[in-house]
Amino acid sequence: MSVDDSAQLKMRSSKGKPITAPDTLGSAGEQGHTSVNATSSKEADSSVSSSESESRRASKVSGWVKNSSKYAFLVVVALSFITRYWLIWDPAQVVFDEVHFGKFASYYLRREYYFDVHPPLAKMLIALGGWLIGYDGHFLFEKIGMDYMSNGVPYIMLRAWVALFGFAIPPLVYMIMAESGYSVAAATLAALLVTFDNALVTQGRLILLDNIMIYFMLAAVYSYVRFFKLRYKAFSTQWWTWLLSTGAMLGCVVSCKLVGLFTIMLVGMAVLYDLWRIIDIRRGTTMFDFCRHFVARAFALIVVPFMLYLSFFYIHFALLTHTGPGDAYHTSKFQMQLIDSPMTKSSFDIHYGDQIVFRHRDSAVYLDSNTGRYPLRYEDQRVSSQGQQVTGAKNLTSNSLWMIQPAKDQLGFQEFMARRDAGEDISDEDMDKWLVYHSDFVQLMHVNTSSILRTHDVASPLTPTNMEFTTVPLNGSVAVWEDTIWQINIDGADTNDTVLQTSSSFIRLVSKKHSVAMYTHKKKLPAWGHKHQEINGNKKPTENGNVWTIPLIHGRKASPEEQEEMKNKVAKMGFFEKYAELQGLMIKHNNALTSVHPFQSTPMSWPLLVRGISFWTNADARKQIYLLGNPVGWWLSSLSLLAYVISVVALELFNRRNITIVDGIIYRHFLRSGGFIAFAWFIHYFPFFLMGRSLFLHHYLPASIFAYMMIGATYQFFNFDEYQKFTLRHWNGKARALMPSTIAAALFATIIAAQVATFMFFAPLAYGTTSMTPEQIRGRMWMSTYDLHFQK
Amino acid sequence: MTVDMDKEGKRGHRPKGHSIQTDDTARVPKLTKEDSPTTHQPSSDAVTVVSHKYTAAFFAKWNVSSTDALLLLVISLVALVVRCYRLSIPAKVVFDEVHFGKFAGKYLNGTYFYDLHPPLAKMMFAAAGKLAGYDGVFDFKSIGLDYEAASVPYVGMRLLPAILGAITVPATYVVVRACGYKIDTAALASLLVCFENGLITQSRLILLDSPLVFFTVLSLTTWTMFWTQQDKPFTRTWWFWLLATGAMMGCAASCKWVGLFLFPAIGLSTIADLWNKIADLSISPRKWFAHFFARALALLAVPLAVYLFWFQVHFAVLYKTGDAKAMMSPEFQTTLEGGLNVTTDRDVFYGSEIRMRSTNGRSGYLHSHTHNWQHEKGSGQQQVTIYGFADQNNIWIVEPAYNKTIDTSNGPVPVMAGDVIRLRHKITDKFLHSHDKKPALTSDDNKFELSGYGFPGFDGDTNDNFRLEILSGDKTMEGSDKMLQSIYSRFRLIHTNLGCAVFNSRKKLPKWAFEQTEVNCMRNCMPRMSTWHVEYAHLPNNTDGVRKAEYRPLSVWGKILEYNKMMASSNAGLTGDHPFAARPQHWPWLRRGTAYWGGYGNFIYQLGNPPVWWASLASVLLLMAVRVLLFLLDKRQIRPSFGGQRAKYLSAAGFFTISWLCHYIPFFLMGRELFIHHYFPALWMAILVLAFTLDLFTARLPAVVRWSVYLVAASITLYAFETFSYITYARVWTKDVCMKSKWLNTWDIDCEHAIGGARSTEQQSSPVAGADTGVNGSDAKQRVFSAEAAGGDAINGADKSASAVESVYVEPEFVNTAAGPKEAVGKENMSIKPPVKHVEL
Repeated sequence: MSVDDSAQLKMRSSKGKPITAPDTLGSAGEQGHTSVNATSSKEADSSVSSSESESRRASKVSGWVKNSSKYAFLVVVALSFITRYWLIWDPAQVVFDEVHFGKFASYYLRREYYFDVHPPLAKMLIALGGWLIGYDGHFLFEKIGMDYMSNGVPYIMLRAWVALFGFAIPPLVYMIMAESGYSVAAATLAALLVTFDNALVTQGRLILLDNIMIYFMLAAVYSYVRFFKLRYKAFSTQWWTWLLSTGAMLGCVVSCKLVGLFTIMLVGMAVLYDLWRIIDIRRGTTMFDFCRHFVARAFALIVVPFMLYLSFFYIHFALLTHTGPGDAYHTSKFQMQLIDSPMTKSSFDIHYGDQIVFRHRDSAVYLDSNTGRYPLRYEDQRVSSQGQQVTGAKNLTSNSLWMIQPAKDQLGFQEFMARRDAGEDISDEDMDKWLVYHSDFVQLMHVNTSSILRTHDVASPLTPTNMEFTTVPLNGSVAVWEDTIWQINIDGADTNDTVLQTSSSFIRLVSKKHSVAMYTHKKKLPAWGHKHQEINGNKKPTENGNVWTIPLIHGRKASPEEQEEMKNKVAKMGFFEKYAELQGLMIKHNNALTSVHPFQSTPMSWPLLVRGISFWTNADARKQIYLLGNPVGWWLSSLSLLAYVISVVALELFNRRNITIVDGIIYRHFLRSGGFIAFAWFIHYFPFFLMGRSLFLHHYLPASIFAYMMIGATYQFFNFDEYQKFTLRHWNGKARALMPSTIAAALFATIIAAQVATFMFFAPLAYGTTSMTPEQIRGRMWMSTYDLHFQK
Repeated sequence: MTVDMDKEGKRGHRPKGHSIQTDDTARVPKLTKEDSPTTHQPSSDAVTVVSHKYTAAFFAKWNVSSTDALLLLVISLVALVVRCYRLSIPAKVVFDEVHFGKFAGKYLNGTYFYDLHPPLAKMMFAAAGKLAGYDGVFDFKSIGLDYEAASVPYVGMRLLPAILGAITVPATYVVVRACGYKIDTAALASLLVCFENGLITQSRLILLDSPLVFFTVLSLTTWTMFWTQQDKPFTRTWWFWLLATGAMMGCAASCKWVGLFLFPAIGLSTIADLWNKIADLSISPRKWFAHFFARALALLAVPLAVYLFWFQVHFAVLYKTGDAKAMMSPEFQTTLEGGLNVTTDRDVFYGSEIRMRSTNGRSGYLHSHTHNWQHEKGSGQQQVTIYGFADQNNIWIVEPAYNKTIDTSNGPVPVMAGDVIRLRHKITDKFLHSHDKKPALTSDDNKFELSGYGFPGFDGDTNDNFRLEILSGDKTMEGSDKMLQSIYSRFRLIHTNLGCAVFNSRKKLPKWAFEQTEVNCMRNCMPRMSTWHVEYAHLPNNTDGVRKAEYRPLSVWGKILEYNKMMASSNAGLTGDHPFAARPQHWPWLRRGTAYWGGYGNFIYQLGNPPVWWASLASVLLLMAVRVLLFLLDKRQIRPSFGGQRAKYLSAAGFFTISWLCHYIPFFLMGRELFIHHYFPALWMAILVLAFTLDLFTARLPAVVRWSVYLVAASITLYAFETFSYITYARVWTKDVCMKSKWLNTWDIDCEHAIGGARSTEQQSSPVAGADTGVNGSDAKQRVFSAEAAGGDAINGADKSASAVESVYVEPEFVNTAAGPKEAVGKENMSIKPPVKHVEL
């Protein structure tokens, strides 16, 4: 699993003479290092002379080969630039999820609050680009296919900015491969395959999050590789630099999308493995040393990322100060923090005797009653109480007015109401006596029919497990009195001195006797119930569907002074409180993303590239953007993963019989570096099987990069045996390059040619710039499941 | 024992010349150069091999002594008494007896039914019923029905799970002994299992879990016995225990799919064992493969054969058609006596009258009738639906595309793949039609309404045109993939203008469409739900040489496959809001139980023996913590030996902890509705770990102290058993004691049923007196009854006719409805009287 074991060799080469390995390792019984030591000690005597002779030999070969890793890197950079930026201005329309992420960027620039399930960093980065080029956020990217030109959006610059991240991905792949001890050929192979992957190109040139996330992911992996290679110079400045850089990049990747947690798991597992080796007593590590190692990693890889994650949220809240479309997701307290929130304009204390309206938080229906009654028999032959209907109505009418009355002290209340009705001027002090508080017991009188809300032990019309809601006449019997008593439970209130308020209080209305909460759901009553929503008593009082608000008091409006006063009364919310609330909502809504999308797919289908996603179409010009990987590359990469697993299992079985087929450092590199890549692929892929939410092909893109790297790893394993020659290299070309054998060179050329040819063939779908005839489109349906448009 | 969690102990990867260290070496000195192999050996990372002798002692043969025999006899008798006590009470249908009793009856009658569990346990109940004299007449229709009034030999049927439950107790004894533990530990473990209230409750009723737990326990018993034979592979005893394990695993999986968790548990230990064996150079490759194939045969092939065998029996017994037949495919139905019997003309011609069936939906035929769409965004044209019964309204006539004619002068013209056709509804004369209107139940952009359209004098339009796309034909029926043939050709109908396919949405339409199944036209849909076939075709006046077609009956393998696929989808579709459903994170610490039945003064509430649950959970967690700690200490070369108990404890408790994980963790991934009884197999494993842990702590103490500890453990168990025996055996309880016994306030034991509670007597003062939430299903009826008896004022009067709040107490693994909401639609359709007259064909 470890990234690379060539550090010792590397160190020797970089300084030109061998460094004696630290004492701690010298006598260690660890086999791998023993073997390295064994070879190195043989070489040690002659290493100076041999390096001299090699440098003489190197000077004989041409400059191109000598510096080929530098050229290879430049080729990757150039090709990456061309593929990502080619016709980046086309199409000049909103494509796929630009609808969301463009919009969010606009909200940042407008400083209006929005809600999204993803953490803010990537969106803030997009907004940063917009801010730098002077975009004011006037356009809201409402629909796929909207025109950018006519709306005056500087989309080219926005895309070019985001494409910078996509552009950086292939070079990063090259750097990771090279640092992990792969030959120039293997590193170039992996990087070029990534360069010519259609899905990464499509994602990499639009205003989307994934390429930003992948960029940070690879940066984190690269930093970790650098850090790991410095493990024999622990606690040096360089060591700290790369460790902290790993932590910082991990913080960034998880701040783009929560999928970044997989990258954290990847690095976490690698670190655990590393620590597992360090704690071995035969390395001579003392417990104190171990603790130092442990604490350093814990700080850099847990504390630092988390602090970064929080600070991005801090910036997020600092930017989004005004009320916006995201308000409704939040608690009233949160909403009142936002400038111009309607909550701060109309939040009144509620007194007994007020005529109020109940609105269901989730479905926005009003608690309604009318003179209609429940039918005696329902369709399923159950019988009702035939009581007055209580329903949830979409429209606000006088049928939705309820007068709130105290359950006790009716005498004093009658007197108070009489005074109030008479228009007497009641002092504030007297008024305050009749405030409604959290956990008060109340009755609710339906104003139009003068009857009282009741629930009782009768099954509700559509939901037999829940209790029916009805009303009883004002002067009903004592026997039902208890059925009409309700407790007001304000969400988040823990003491009894919280006053019930309009707008800002989220309440649950719980029957005192039956402990059921007033509940409604999307089920509609039949014609006899005016197609209103069913209302009933829910036995699980904590469910979300039980939450109601009181939007207004009949006849009460705020004067400007009152509004000002209310604004000042708003309780301030700290950053952590805000953050905790938002984080909870993000997780909740992320899990709730289960609605079926026509282009969603199952994780099982991704490695074989069974189906893509239609991003954008233009029917007139017969153009379309269809997210699809490079089939050749994806199939080959899946194949190489399979080859890797089979090889390792087979070789391990032979090893257990003491039969050695591949020896020493080559096998170790294959096992550990290859294992790291395979695990990286696995951890970025497998968890999706456990997710209930709707998933898309682009969720596989992070894993696909590691799958491409695996092609490089297996290519090297099967083609090279002079291991030391390329472990000494550095990605920017300080060390020697190795010319591959003829077969390997041919293989290299074949794979790249196939990849590029397929890329070109599918390029019209990736760029959406070419119109195609039906025959051409059908020719690209390598699988019948590629549901391209305009097949006919 | 099996999965040896103690890695070093079994590491076979021994470098040459390495000397074996004894296990009391706490700290091994640094290895010398000779010790570390110079060749690269990837499997051992940093620590070179330090091997210990203790494995040998561990697999010592268990010599059964006379004390063992005597104890086994005593334990079996005690267990039998504990399981059979008050078996006849209550004499009412309790909880899921409503299902499984009914299924037993169906076996006796031979009537086909569908259930989402495999058949073995239910067949065992049928056999028990047969022996006890049950005739299969009583139908277990609802909870609370009286057995005695119907003279059902229910005690005989309940005796089966009781006996199976009793056998698990001596089996526990055997397992502990076979793991190398002493008699006292084995006795304690069996006592813990014997007096576990949850297991007792489950084994006293006609429920599937007792057979499941029985076979799970026996699988692991035979597996541990197999391990005592490790030193003599391929002997007769060795084979016997190995094959017995496979057979028991097969039976467990044939009771409930939960039994499949045995496969990872036993499989992991097998893989670990083989992995160790391959490094043992004294075992020749040939021998190793013999080991490999022996296990593959016994642990994979045998269970599969057993599973298939019980299904064979299942289908052999259930030969008559029953209510559930409509859920199966036509090919399946034709195998049942009195099931589907169809013969039809084979070839479909222009002008043929056809009846077409949705191939995968099982919901019925394409149908239309003289009622119009009424939904808001609809066209208001004639409804087209899917309907389960064959009647004249399902008959369509195949006609050529709009404005096209077919020359039939040379005889009938067959309908070919790719033809554009129209379908005319025979009775109402309207064409099958689609257009840019939304269907009734969705506003999806890709879905369009299907309707019947046309009127006299109007020859239709191009929106009536559908292209016939034949997906596949029958291999033996030549040309069935080129021309439309009844039954053999599977096809889709693609609307030529919209490019959408006629699609079975499997959703139930509202009342105004007679709750038939919705059919619409969907773009970009997969073929699965848009595939159709013709079940009946006839061209009037066509007399010459008509070839016939009929469904091919499924082979029994085909039936098994179809049934299992359906079980998978039913299980996945089991979501509900049963008030006593519980998620896995709440099980091991016994957050709450399940209310099974409520009577007057007595009731049954499924709750475990709390100290046993808590202690067993603690010991499992302890083992895992100890294991991790030991790994770390090994790295520092510190090796506590636990007084020589280390190997035994780690391997035995380790194996059962891994088994526990295999029987517990997967439930977290299941979205379906779960209950606390799903924890029982895992509970048994945790109890074993508890016994091993107690042994570990007391092994080095003087016998007196050790036995005192055991005695205390036994006393606590018995005390808790007695405390909760009231709700286990439905003994009469008082409300005061009941309230005091709620050790956790999350236990919603309904003490109102106890003496002194509101629901302890039949006479109730007020009809709504006990309307709290935790009432029993059987009770709901009684409350309706008492509500009718009570008088009152005007408002109470309204309650007279009111149905009481229905508490759904039945576990929703209910057969027909539980076939998943989608599948159930078809069946419900059947019971709805169609608006048009039936004409039998």
